[in-house]
Amino acid sequence: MCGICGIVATGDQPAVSDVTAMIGAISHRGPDGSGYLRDHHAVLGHARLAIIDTAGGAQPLCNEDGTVWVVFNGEIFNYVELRHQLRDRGHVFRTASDTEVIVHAWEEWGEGAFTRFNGQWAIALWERNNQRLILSRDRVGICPLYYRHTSGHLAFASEIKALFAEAASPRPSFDPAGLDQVLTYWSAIAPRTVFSGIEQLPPGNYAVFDRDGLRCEPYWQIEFPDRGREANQDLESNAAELRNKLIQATRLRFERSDVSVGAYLSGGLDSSVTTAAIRNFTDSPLATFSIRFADAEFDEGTFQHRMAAALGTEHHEIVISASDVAGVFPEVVRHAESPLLRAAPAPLFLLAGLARESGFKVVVTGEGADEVLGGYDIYREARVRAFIAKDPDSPVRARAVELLYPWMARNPGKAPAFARDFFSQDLDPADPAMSHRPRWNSTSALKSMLSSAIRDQARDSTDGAAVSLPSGSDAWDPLSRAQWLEMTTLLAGYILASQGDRMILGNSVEGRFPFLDPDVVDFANNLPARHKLFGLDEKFILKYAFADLVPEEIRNRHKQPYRAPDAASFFSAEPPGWVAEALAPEQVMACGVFDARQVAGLTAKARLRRGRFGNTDNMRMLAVLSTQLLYQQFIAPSQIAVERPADPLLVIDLVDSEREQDVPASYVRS
Amino acid sequence: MNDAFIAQLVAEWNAARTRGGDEALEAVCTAIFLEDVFDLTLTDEQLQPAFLTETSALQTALQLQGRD
Repeated sequence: MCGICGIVATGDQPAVSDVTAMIGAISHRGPDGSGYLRDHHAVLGHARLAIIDTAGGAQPLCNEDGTVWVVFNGEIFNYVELRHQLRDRGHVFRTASDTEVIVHAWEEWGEGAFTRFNGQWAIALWERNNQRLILSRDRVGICPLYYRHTSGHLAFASEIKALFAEAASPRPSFDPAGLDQVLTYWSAIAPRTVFSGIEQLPPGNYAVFDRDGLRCEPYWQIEFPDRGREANQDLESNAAELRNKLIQATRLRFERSDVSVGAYLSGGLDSSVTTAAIRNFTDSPLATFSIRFADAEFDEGTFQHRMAAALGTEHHEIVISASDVAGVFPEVVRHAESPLLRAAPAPLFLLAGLARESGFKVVVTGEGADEVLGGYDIYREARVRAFIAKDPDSPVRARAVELLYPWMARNPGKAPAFARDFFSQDLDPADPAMSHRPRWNSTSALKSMLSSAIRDQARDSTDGAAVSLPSGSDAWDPLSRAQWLEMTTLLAGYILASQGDRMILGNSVEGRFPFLDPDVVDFANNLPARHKLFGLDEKFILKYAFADLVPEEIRNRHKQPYRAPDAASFFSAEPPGWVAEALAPEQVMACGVFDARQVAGLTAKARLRRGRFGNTDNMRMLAVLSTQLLYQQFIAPSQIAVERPADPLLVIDLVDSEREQDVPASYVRS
Repeated sequence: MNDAFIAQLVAEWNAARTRGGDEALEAVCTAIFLEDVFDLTLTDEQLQPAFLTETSALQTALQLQGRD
């Protein structure tokens, strides 16, 4: 992957120095080189992580006559097939890169190009003849794309910190409504972010900016069939087709690279499937990477070792302690650019560092399987809640909660009370978001910590529900509605951002996600719900389809959600100095997001218990610490240090070339 | 929903289950599957091992609720 940025202004000429500062701010996304294009009303910038056509793929790139230019972050995995099609239609290529396919595909098909792409991307296209900018983001939100739009002026970038690097940008401040969303959904929901005036292009959308302003349109949407009208009801043939599609998706992501590709191996089903799929079609050495935890409560090393041994991989692992999490957390928050309610991104940041230190720029991961194939506990919980809702007074139905978690079966006396207290909340079958209501409500408890000023501003600036299911979704299976909510909120906003792109690219590594291949997603969305969640058996069809490649002990182990030590990481024997500084009352008051008195109480409690908290207090402490760090890093400083773009720097100056040579549309490279 | 489809789903379910352990809890598990797939509501009396572990009894339950 890479980083992109740029400024388009319908009046003034954008400053090159602004865009080089923006490139510098995201140079961790592309340390292999950089480049910019200067036109009269546009400057496009690029930070390059060279993966495909490492020699010839430097950006910006253009079409045959230099009328369409592109900067691009991501991969178009089917670029080879698309290039054949475009050559047949007369397009002439100068490089072997996937980037060049984008400009010709745009010329040929317009916005129809995006539905032809199999990949992950944030794209900016500049049409010189029409003086317009086109932005596009991949279907599910693997690659980020932010912008600031004011009258006649649009600045865009892969990360928010690049937008702050524009000299004329307003001083950063928090958006109370964005913070309010984080304290409900775990992330802001596109187009909103937690920073005022900064928006993000929603996944599956493209935008056009020209003299008429900014217009945004979806080119793809998450869709499910009506319940009972799924195309194929046969488990055997559906499992076979899913297997074929997943192997093809994994193969594309493993083979379409000019540098070595490794694989994450968590010890769970999803990464075992993708790694086994790779092993199945290559005899080359395969490197795998795992997180181990010093605390046995979180560690999955046994299963990782068994899978690595079964596949004969060159296995690498990093053992992470609570103090490691605390030590790296400020850097993690700087990359995430959002408050975090969990420390889980920190180990993933360190894991990506291990991959990079081991010489890998690309890793394949199992991310997305839980959303696409019904793997999360929230789906199982929703089904149990629906079961209990049919007769909340039935002691027989109340036992269903024992099926969710092994500890309940071992403590049968506690199960009925737990069922009453948690699973009987918000049991409104008419509520289309019934599956997610308990999570949203329990997360919203954190808002009691907000300062009264932020609470009031959030209430005043919240413009309706951030998440509303599409019309017609009432005919979907309840699991499909839950999947839609999960893919729309947590996947794009948190899993692929704070735990995905930001942690991986923070170490100059690219993540690839076979479970989010569009063919896999479309196929999975059209499966009968029971093939995904079979009773309470999650990802049933995946286990069925890969029974021969993944050992039984991994296929049928109780699902272990990925977790890391949370508040305990920051209140061990010797907390790092930044913790006390971030939580100091004067800092909390200066930030103004949280009520200083409540933060002081929570801090005292954390010190007393060494951070051994329940779920809600864990989230409270993480929210406070990460928000305070964001304030210190982005809002409090009067000036943000300007970093240089990585060398070599490719300069394409269309303005100077016109002036010097008196010919249109020629360009120079230096 | 015809008999063959019902039989197919019940067979898929039975093939995927590992017997043993708490039979009453197993019956609850089966009931969750059946109620979801066939969109029906069983009575507490029907949420019993003797009823839900027999294919014929399952089909009777479905017939009683007019799902066949």
